[in-house]
Amino acid sequence: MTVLAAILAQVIHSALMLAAAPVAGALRDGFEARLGGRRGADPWQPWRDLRRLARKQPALTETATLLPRIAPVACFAAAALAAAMVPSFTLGMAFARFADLLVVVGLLAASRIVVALAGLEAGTAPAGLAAGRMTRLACLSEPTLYLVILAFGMLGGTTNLDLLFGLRLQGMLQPVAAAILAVAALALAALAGPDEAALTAEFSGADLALVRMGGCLRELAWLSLAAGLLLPAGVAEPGRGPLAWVIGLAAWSAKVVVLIACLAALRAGAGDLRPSRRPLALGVAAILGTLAALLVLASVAAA
Amino acid sequence: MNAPLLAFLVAAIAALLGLGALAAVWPRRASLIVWSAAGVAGFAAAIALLDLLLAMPPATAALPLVLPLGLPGVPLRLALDPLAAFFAALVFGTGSATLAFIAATEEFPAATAVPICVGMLGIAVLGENGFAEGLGLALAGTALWMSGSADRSGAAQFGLALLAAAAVVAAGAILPRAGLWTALIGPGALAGLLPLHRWTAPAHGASTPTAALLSGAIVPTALFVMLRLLLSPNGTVPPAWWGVTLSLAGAAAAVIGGLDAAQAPDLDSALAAGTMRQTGLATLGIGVALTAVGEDLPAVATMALAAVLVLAVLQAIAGTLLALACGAIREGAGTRRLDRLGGLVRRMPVTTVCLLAGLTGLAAVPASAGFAVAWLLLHAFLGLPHAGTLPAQLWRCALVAAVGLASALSIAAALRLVGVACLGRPRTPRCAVADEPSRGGRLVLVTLALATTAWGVLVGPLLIVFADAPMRVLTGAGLGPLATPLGLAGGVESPGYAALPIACLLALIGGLVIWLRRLLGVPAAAAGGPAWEDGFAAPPGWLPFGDPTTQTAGADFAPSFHRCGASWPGRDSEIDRPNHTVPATGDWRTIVGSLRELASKGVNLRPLPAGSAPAIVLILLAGLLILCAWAGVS
Repeated sequence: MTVLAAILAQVIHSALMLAAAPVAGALRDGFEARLGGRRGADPWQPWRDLRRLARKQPALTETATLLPRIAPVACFAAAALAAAMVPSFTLGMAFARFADLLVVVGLLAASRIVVALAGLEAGTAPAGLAAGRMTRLACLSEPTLYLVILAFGMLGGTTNLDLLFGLRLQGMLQPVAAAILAVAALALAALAGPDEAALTAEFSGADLALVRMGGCLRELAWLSLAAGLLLPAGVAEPGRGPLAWVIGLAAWSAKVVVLIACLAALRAGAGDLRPSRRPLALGVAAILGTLAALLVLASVAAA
Repeated sequence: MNAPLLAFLVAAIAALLGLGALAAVWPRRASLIVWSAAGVAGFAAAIALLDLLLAMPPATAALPLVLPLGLPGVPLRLALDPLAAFFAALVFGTGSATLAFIAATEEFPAATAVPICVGMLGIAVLGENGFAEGLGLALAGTALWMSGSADRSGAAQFGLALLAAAAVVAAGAILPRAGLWTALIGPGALAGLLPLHRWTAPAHGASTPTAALLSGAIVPTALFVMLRLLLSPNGTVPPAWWGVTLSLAGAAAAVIGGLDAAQAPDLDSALAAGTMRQTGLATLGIGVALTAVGEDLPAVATMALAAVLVLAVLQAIAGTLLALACGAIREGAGTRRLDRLGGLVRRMPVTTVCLLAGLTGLAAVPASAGFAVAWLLLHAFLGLPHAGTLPAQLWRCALVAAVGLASALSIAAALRLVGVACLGRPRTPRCAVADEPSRGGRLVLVTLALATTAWGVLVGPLLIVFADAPMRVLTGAGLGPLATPLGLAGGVESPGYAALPIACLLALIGGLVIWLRRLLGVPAAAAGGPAWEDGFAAPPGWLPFGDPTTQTAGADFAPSFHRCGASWPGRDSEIDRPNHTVPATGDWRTIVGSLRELASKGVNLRPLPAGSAPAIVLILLAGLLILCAWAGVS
């Protein structure tokens, strides 16, 4: 019965992530537009765009090989698996045992890399520049991510996301300040990471729909990760019934919307992060990550 | 059961040496001889693997085999314990693949040197006393040097092999307490640790078989010798500073090698720098293991050493694959410079896919072996004691950040090498008509690519089968709960990293998407028209592959850390400073500058005079023999 419930929870969670991913991006844009005094698009507009794109025949260059045909699928698969592993409304889902924090971070990176590979395949200038920019920024953000994973690993004694979320829910990730610092570093590293608009220019039609969906899923996975580690309340513990799931669902939606609103406010207030400022932001993220790890270590030494 | 297997291995080594000599005197039959040598090396690898399978607990004590060769009082003693069998399988496997590639691509000038080198590395790995290990390393280095280019890099490589041999001999008998320094100066330098890395790196520009042996066989052998020198099974606790020093050397090599690999202008130096990055990570693992042994944390030591073993296998398989694939590209496209390659995927699809598989194996992407290494190292750091002084904790944070940076750089190097050399448009007409290697050569590449992928996906079960007995030799206890049939586990209650399910799930989701697209009748992609160049004018007719300057040549795939102080993150001051004045000698800036220069470029040998090499060889060999004799007497 528990196994069936775990599988059912996993299916519902995966469907939820798939359905919510495009809406989350639209919500952020909508909030940002509202804060800027504009009306903003309908939150369902990305879904309409995706449906329109999915019906279109992708066009490839005359020299295209198999790579740009596979890359959208691989990009989507990696992002979808990462999003399926980050718990949303309940713990103890079917993939819980595989949901290692380092694996999720690695999958999110892999999802971007295949798009860059396909971009390089076309041999155009913007794609090449974007691929270089992506790896350069990844070199700056990856050490921070490892430090954050170190901090969480030391806080909880594990890097498994399901266990970490559970420990955070029970208030066992002490000191909380270290957890908050680590989440801040994680968020900053994810935010200041590269945008791949120049890379998606190589795709069209149904392929573009898959790549865009992959990008939305990556964003939602980061948000969901931050929500679970920062605001743990409401998540259903393993083995709980449908009522707890419904409460968890409502709590998760509220948390994600709050985070999106904060993000939008940040962007509306401070403006989008300029590419030349991204290394600086990543440096700050690295300092925050180091501080989080040191805080954990100091608290252990004091205890 | 152990003695007959050792006898088989010794017979295989003798056969390899004999075949090597035969190829020198009978060059007309080189093809047959090289194929036979490949078969013999493959047989030896299978024997070593069989020993590992039979060595599952309870392991029997290895009986040494004393050969009537050697110096008076210093016999050549060989023994087959599980650790030796593990590394012997790597050396012979690499040798077999390299020999098969030579035979398939008819690169017969190396037909003498490669079998002899593989045989000698076999002696080095199976050697039970310092003399056997030293002799094997020295003669393997000699064989490589004779086959390779006669320039300074070949000579330097050879000198390093002799240095490693001398260090092994010295460590065995004379300086048992100086294990760390002998390990760092000897095998560490041979594997490419700082600051001697530049001596080894250019030697990778040698012929394809030499490069394959250097990165696929010599580096694992050097790691094996380091493990032997540093981890004594009799339970002596190493001093705490050994672990710190080794981690420092490893982290520095991993980061500098990674940066070089993501910036090198040609395939060979990128691969050599990548080898240095892998060596650095392995040394970092050994350093963490030593620290854990000092702190009496056997589980953490096992985790760090498992990372070293995974790295050694990865280097043997993927290092060989990449060296052979780059050799094939050099042969097929006529150049190794990245800014003259491009678009090879259309003419050399098999080589491109194999290169991608090898680089993905090294990169820290989930379900690859490189990811398993990063995971193991990070969890080893997690397992180290949390209490300690602030400098010690900062130190740990810095090392973890170094592992993260090396992982990111491995991805950057992979993306850059494949993206620039194989994807995009051809940059020269020669690239546009590049040819794949022969069918046999392609078969070797595909086999190695499959092995690299399998090692990443099946890392748990393969470690259980093959690495448990070697781990017993290293730590006195097996892998324990670390390796599971699904992947790796950080502890009893922590689920860990499940490589196999993740790979299966990725394949499942991908398959599902493709099936859904078919089901919903999404039209397949149509090819037609040139790539969109952002509205720029079409290139002139005399640039048939487009303007090469509009395509990235991989110059900006890694951050340039050496400019951190001056201009980061602004871009204005990245222009060369015209008013830059050279500081006066004795100024602290000179010292910092030279240290920076040393870190980035390493110590470089001036070219040796042309005729001096044989004399130097003889002198070094004589010195080594005298050292061995002295070691035997004392």
